[in-house]
Amino acid sequence: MKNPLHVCIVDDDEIYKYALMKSVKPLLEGSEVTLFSNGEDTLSYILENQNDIIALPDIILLDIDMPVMDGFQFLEEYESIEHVLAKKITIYMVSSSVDPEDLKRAKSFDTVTDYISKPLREDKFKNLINAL
Amino acid sequence: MGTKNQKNQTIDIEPIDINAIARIGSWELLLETKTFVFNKISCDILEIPQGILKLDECSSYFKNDSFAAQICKGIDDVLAAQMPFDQEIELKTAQNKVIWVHLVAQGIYNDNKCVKIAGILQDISKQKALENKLIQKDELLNFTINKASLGYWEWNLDSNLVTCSENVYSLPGIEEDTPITIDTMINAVHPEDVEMVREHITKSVKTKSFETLFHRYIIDDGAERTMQVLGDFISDETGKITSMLCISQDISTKKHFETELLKKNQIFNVVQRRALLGHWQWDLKTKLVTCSENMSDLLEIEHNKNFAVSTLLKDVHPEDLESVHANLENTIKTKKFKSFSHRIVIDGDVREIQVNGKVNIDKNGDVLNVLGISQDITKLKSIENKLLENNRLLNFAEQKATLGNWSWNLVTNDVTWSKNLYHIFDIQEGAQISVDTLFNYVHPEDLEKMRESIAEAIRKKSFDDFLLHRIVLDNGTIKTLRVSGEVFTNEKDEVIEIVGISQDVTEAYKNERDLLKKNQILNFGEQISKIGNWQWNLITNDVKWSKNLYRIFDHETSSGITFDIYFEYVHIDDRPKVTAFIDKLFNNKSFEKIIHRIVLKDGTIRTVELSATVNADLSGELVEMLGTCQDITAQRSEEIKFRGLLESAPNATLIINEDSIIQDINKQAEKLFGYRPQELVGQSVDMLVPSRFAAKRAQYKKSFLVSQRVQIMDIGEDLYMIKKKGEEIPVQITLGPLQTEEGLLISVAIRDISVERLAERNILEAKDHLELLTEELMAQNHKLADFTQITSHNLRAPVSNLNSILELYKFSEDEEERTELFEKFEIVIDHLTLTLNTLIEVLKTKSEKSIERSEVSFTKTLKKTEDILLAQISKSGTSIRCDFSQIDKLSYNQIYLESIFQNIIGNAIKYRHPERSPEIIVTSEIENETIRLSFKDNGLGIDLKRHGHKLFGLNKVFHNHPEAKGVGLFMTKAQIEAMGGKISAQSQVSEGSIFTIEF
Repeated sequence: MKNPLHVCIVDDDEIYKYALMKSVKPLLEGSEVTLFSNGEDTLSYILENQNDIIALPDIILLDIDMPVMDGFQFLEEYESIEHVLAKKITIYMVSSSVDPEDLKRAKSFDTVTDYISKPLREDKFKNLINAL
Repeated sequence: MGTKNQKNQTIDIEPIDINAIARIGSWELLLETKTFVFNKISCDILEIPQGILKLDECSSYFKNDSFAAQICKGIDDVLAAQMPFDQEIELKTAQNKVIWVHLVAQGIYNDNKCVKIAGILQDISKQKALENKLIQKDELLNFTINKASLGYWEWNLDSNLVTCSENVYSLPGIEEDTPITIDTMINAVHPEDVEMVREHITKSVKTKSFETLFHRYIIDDGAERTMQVLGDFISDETGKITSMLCISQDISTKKHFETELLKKNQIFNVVQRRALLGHWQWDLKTKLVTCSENMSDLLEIEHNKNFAVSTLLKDVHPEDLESVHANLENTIKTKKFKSFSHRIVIDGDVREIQVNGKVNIDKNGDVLNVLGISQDITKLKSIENKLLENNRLLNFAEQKATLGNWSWNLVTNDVTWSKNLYHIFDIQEGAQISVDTLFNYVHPEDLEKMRESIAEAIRKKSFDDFLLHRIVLDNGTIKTLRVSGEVFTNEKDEVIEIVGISQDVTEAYKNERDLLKKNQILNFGEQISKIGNWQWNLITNDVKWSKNLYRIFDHETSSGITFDIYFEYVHIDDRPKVTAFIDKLFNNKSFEKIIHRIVLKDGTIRTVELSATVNADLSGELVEMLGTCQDITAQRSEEIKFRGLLESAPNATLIINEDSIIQDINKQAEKLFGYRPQELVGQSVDMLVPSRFAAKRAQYKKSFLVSQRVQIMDIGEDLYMIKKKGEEIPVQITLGPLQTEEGLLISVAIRDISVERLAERNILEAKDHLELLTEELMAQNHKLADFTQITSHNLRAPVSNLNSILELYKFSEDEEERTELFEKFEIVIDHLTLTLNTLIEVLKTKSEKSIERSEVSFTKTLKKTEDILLAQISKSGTSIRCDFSQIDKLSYNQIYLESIFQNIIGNAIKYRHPERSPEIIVTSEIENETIRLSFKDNGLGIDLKRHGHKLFGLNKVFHNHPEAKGVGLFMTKAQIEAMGGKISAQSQVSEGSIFTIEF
């Protein structure tokens, strides 16, 4: 695991984010966590910090269903800017959707490392960050 | 030139005694003073005053400068060349008289310096004039000699030499630069005339008189020329003949013309007589007629005698007299002769006369005379008619016999064709024809044969029987021509002409070949079809068999045949049948057929079909029986095999011919249709098929006959056949072609598909039912899918959250944290409660089978909505306009409609644009019985490209609006769809949205 780590959680479900942060807090000690509620805000942040390897997250946990710009819309935009970023970001899609179409679509993006069904538990999260 | 010697040479210019006749004068030019001194004779010649004449005064004496110029030229020459000047010059005197002078000038030198020029001057004008005349005469003579083909020669009797003009040398045997004697001249003439000429000359010398002599020459090219010689003698003072002067003139052309004229006259006379021509002249002034001798003979009047017109017309046929008069009158009137014909009667003999003529007119335009030529054309006319008739007959004959005649002149290579030959070759009549034309048309395969035959005919000088060859016309038609000909030779036995007849025998040749072929086919046919014929004379009991019949019975031809022998061959089991057959023939005296077996000597059994008929005499007694006998063993065995196959076929099968006549049926067919074989065989298959299929069947049959492949009959609809009882049964028919010796037969395999049809119908019904079920299931699935989405996202997520918080709660030891977690519980539970309530409401809506309907009003519903949302409306400054003029009332669920109004208008206010007050326009319309209701706002708008797919989903929010819960449109859609309607949206971000509901 890289240390310190910059984790970015993009989800409109505030309770989920709250619970996740609580459960994985011990794992993220010394790491930085940035929270967003939709894809658009996340994309703006990345673009603003495209040359800043510290400000850019190492990992993004991306929800699908969000207002303003959902996870898939974010990925479409992200693909076009990925090449200008100062570092490579690992993206996981994390959703409660059990629709196979969503799974299939998520995996069609080269930028997505894997699709994870909610709830994202501590052990699973640990595996994710350890894989970095 | 020895000029040095001449420098000191002086001329004595002492006055010369000039002979006045000689007219020689002298003169001097003194160079120092430039003055002339002419003596008297010189002055006379030049017609100038005597005395000294200044050089520059010359021009005033001579009107032109000729004298001065000539003199000056002479002086210049003398001075320049230092040599004498001596020339004859033509000049004009002071009196302007043209004279010729002989001018001589010479320089006189003193100390090498020319001091004067002295000269003489002689008038030579007369001498010169004579010379000129002589030249002219010479030229004239030469011209005359050439033009008149004249030559002259003079024979000096003393020297015996002959001098002659140039053109005499062109005569053969007379050579230039060689002495010519009178013998040379005599020998040069035509060999046949030599003696005659010699005698003539001898006689002329003797008599001193030369009579005109005619003789011939043969010139270089071998042509014969005729000469006329005129001669005269020249004597000396003593009267002795010294020479003979002759002029020879070539009169060949003249002679030729004379001969020609003579010939023509002779010919004319001959022609006049032969053609029974006579010419006459009718003088209008004297009113008399003169005519040619021949005409006089025709009219039986004296030669060279004038006579009246009436005499000319005396023999005219009475019936034609009037028209002849009219023609002559018309000639005078119109001054033009129009040819006419009339008959004359001489000694009861009627002859046809053709009259041509010409009118001569005087200066005043009056008719002077009429010249006429009358010709007896009786014979001509008759020959012409005969010729025409013959030609017509020939043409007719040629056309009928499709033959044409031709001739080929081998000397001129000219080829002529008759009219019909052009027709046979399909070439424009009269077109240029050559030998090659024929060869161009000859069929390439026959060309060599044709050339050889013609070469052979020329070689042998006779034509073989005939030559058969083909021609290929321009349009590709091939014709067969039969050519016969005759070869003509001249007295030297050289072939000069071939004439022949080409007959178009295409049809005949074809027929002949066809006949030959047919005979062969017939012979083969008998053998192939194993048929033979026979005759049985019932009186003599003689039996005759054809060769093939012997072959069928394998009976020796030489053994002969009788009825008993035949009967021995008949299979023992079939003999009663054959006997009965014979009896029947005797009794019925008609045509009968029988099939029976025969047993050959080697034990082979054959089946034969015997056809027979009988001939009776006048009394009705049978005298002869005759017929055919065909070996049908193979057929029979094929038939047996075929029947076996037919019977073993699983389906009902009919065998029909090309005309749809049933030839055979199998047991299955009997069973299927309920007919017995004899009821169907020989009948049209139409009786088994409903007439409504007739047109389609006919069309199908055409294509089947073309393809002739085994196929299932497909006429584009279900096919039925009719049973004997009239019942229609659905069938599937398989057709198959059967090529047989009798021609094409068609096997019709019929499968009764009644049971299959029934099953099919059942399947179709089941399918329809299943489709309905599927639709329902699909609708259920769709709803289920929606619900899965809702449960997975809207229920699973909060439940998952609850679990997460519960987990945290369990392990939390911090009370504050537990309180915080508990608050989170409440949030999740509230959210979950709302979601579940909404879902319950939607499910209730969707599952409600009959939703209560009542008449509702858009106006009233809007009003109620405004009342409920009054606070938001007034707070946001919303203006709501409506237009329900097209339709206001409809039958709908009141609660749903109110909910729809509240949700959509509430959203419009909730998601208003921050920079402007909300404006909502609600309108209704009806189109094609569909009621539409639109809500148009000027709010934030929705990015439909991005969110369109989840616009009406549960808990779907598109803005970061704090109040957005994503329930309203989900509920609205559920309500509208529950009532059988639909909702759609149009939107532009920052401009506003339009929600349209179709009821």
